[in-house]
Amino acid sequence: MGDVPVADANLDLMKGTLGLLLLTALSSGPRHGHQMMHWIRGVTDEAFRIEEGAIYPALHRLEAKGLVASEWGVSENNRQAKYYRLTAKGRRKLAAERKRWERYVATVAKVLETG
Amino acid sequence: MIGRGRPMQRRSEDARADAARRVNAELEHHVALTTEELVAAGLDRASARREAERRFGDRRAHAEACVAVWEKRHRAARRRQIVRGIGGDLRYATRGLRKNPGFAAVVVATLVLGIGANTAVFSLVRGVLLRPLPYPDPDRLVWIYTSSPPQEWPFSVADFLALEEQQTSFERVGAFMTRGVTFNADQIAERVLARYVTADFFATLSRPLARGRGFTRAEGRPGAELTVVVSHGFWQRYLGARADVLGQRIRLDARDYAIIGVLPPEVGPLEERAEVFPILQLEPPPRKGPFFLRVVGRRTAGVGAEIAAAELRGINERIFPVWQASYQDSRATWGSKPLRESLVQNARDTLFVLLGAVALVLLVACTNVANLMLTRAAERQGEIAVRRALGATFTRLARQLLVEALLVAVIGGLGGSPSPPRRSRRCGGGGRTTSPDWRKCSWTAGCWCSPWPSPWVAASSWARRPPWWQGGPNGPRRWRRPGRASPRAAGARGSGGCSSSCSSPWWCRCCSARVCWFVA
Repeated sequence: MGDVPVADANLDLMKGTLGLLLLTALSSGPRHGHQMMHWIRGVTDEAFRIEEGAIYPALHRLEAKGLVASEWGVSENNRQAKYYRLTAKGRRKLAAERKRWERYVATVAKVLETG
Repeated sequence: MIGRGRPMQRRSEDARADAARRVNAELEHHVALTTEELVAAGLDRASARREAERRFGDRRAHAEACVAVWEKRHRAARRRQIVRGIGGDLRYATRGLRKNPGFAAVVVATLVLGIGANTAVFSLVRGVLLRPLPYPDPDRLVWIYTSSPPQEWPFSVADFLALEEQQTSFERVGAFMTRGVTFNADQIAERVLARYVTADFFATLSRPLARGRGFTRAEGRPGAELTVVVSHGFWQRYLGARADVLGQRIRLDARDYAIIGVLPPEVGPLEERAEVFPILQLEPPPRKGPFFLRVVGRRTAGVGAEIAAAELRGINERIFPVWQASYQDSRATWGSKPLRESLVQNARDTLFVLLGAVALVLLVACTNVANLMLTRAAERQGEIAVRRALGATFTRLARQLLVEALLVAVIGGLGGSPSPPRRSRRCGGGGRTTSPDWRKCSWTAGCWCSPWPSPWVAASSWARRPPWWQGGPNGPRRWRRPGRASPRAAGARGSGGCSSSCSSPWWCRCCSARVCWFVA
């Protein structure tokens, strides 16, 4: 097993996880895309390999589903920026997804422990 | 002028471009912020920008993905809006009809009459002309007769016996004659309609009996025991619907017949009306006439109608010399035609004329409805003017009118076409069960759609300002507002007027009014 790389330096994000990360990033208040990117980087110690632009289609999809709402505002450096915030529906979804994720991780961990 | 907006296509393209601009601004903001961070970290501006672009990834693809999400959402919103709008139109139309009960009642009654008459007659046409005969392989069933154009008459016993003996193109041939007989039971004596049939009659039609069996050829020979098949109705009325009826004897015209079979409740046109089907035992006759046997044959599969017809002519020619002493009509020959055609030939023309007549009735009904709607449109000028002033477009008004017309059409249609099976059973005869088929559905749908053009007359008149009946030289004076004739009306008058000679008919509303009137 020695010649098989155990883990890459950067992780690829699992499908569907980005939405969860973005919802979590918004749970502490409205943010624009760049701030969210920073937040995710900081929290994960840059463990994930995420193309920065990829968060925008994901944000727009969340908005289309009604999980986040957006409005244009002025950013910290006096630029027009689009701020996103969680809606009530988004908050409920986040809670549900968090529970689901925790169960998922616990189950996979249990399986891995047996091996 | 308030009113017509830009075409739908253009508006939707503009909205998309707008969304794309917003997406681009958002993405650009991100790249710019990253660039500034990198500059602050010590990179020069050009390489900082390059690095920021690299980190951002394929910008165009991300932008397109965002716009695609927007488009999907936009389309769904539009659909919801349209559905909500139509719901609103329906409520509005219902309120409008309730407010004008007289108008609603007249329109609905007109449509109910028109559509109802059409549905009823079409059910009849369908039951009689379009439905296949209720026998297996009905296309192979033919009617066989003696033909001397323009006359046709049945077979004689001699003819039928020769046909039965010599033919090869038919699987089976059967003959029958119908007459009233006296049925005697314990205390009763009644006249019932009997159809005397030859041994192969039921086998030719190939419909199974409900009980018992059909005749055997041995029973068809003279001197054999007399047997009878009875109808379902006869079995129920006179025989008590008993299960042990087979083998019992009944007395018809003072002769005893043994019951060997009972027909099912639903029968084809050849078994209709008759109560009993006694066996017809044919003895070789001394002479050719009389001619009383109606003959039906089932062509062998794979034998064409021409071959069968040629064979029939051949047999007739062969037996002609045999009977020359009693029969000299050498011009007469044997013919055959599809059974269904001969059964409906008398009804066909009448039915189609009837269908045409009721279609005209519907047309008149629709014209009346169109006129009523036009009158109502004139009454609603004020309402429409307000709506147009508030920015309602032509299509929006037209949609509302269409929904109103749809409402009355549906009410009229529902009133005019009760449950199909009941009606078809009554009209189609024979108690045959029916199920709605595409022809009936399309006819009914056509009837329902017919009043729809009428609101367009009104809508198209609203699209012009003022409508043709207001501005036209021959229009009613009270619609005209003094001093505010439309430029088009002025043009029409300017180009020489219309009452006698019109130089530009396409622009003249008076002419179009005349055309509308003529069409109506």
